[in-house]
Amino acid sequence: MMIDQLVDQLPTEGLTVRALQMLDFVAPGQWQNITGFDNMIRHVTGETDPGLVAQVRARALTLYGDADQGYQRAVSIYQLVDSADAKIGLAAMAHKIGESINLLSFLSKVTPQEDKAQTLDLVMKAVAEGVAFCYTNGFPGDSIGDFMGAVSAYERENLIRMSALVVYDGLVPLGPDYGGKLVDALQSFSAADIEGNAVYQRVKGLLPQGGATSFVLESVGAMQGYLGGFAEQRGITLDGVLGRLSGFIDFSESKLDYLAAALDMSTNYMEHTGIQSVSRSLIERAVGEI
Amino acid sequence: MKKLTLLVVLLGGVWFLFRSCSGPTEISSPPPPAITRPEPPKAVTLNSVFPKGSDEFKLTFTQEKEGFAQAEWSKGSTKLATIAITDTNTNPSARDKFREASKKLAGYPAAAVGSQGTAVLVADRFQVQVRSTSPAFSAADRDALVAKCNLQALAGK
Repeated sequence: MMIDQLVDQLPTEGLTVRALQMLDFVAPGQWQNITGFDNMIRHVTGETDPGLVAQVRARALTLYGDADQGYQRAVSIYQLVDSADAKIGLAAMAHKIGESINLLSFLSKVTPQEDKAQTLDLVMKAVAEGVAFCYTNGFPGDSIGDFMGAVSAYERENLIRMSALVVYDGLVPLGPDYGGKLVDALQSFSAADIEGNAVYQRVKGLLPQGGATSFVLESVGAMQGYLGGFAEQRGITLDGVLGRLSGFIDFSESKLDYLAAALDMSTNYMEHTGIQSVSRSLIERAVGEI
Repeated sequence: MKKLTLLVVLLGGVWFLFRSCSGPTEISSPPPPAITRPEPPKAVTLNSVFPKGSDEFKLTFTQEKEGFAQAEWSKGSTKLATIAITDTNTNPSARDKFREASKKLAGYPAAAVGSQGTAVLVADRFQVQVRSTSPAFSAADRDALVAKCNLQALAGK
C-alpha cells in the first residue's frame, strides 16, 4: 500500500489514539494525530495552495515508490513490529469518549508474558525503532555528534512513540525498575531467547545483517542505558501513568501485566506513529526537492 | 554525570546502529526506480554547504540521502527554518521555476517555493531551499539564511 493510502486510513479515534493522547503530558501539544496525506502535506509544509500540495504529493509518492530510498522499509518495520490482534475485541470498546473500558471481561483472552520475554519485546521494538530511523532519515551529518543531534531532537510523532514504548512495553508491565530488569536480562539473553521472540521473528528479515542475533544482542547492550533512563529523564512515573490510564480503562493494579498484555494486543502505536513519522520525513524531503 | 553517562551510552548505541544500517541488506531490490541518479555528489559535500551554527543559532542535521541533505535552523528551543540541498539531477523539473527568475540571491537565480520557501539554483544543478517553520521567520530572514549558506562550494562541483 502506498504511503498516501496508509496516512489516509489512519484512525482519528480508538484505543491506540487514546493511549497516545494519554502521553501528551510528556511533551504537551507536540503530538497531533494528523491523518490524511494531503492534510499531512499542508501541516508539514505550511502550504495550502492545491497546486503546490499536488506537486509535493507527486514527488513524495515517487520517492516512496523507489524502495531503495528506504521509506518503504521503515514503514514495513513499524507495521511488523506491532502485534495488535483485533480478535480480543478490546480496541473495539474504546470508541466511546467519556466511558471507561472494563478490562475484566477480557482477562481470559489475555496471556501476560514473563518479565524476561516482556523485556525482550521492549528491546526488540527499540532496536526496530533505531533501524527504522536510519532507513527513514539516513545518517544525518558527518559525525556521531551530528547524528546524535538528529536522534536527540526527537519530537512530535517520534517522541510520543518512544514514550509509548517505554510506558506500555516497559513501565507498565515491568514496573519502575524496568531499567534494572533490562540490565539483568542483558546478562542472560541468548541467541535462542531472541530466536524465540515473536517481534524478532516478524522483523528479522528487514534488519541489518539479515537479522543476525549477534546484531540484536549488541544493540541490546548499546541501548540499555537510553531506554532505562528515558522515563526518569522525562518525569514519567508509573503512578502518574496509571492515574491517567484509569481515566479511560478500568483495571486492577494487581494485574498490571494483564493490562500491558491487553494493550499490546489491542493497540498499534508503533505502526500508527511510525507511518506519521515516515510521511513527515518524506514530505519534508519532497517539498525541499521540488 | 548521569546525563554524560547517558550520552556516552547513546552515542555507542547509535554508532553501532549506523554501522549496521550502512551496510548492504539481504533484501532483494524491486525493479529499477522511477527517479534518476546520475552521479550525485557525496553527502559530505552537501553538508559543507549548510551555514555554521553559533551561540545564538543552532544547526541540526535531520535527513540525508543520496543527492539530498536537510537540516533545521533553530534559536534556543524554537525551530525557525529547514534548509534543504538537492542535486536536481534527481528531479530536473525543479529547475523550471528558475528559468524566468528575475530575482537573485548571492548572485544566483532565486525563486519562491510556495509561500514559505525560498530557493536558489547553483551551477544549474544544485537547489538550496530555505523554508520557514516559524511565523517569526520572514521571507527576508529566508533570503538572509540562503545567503549564509556556502553556495560557492556547490558552484565548483
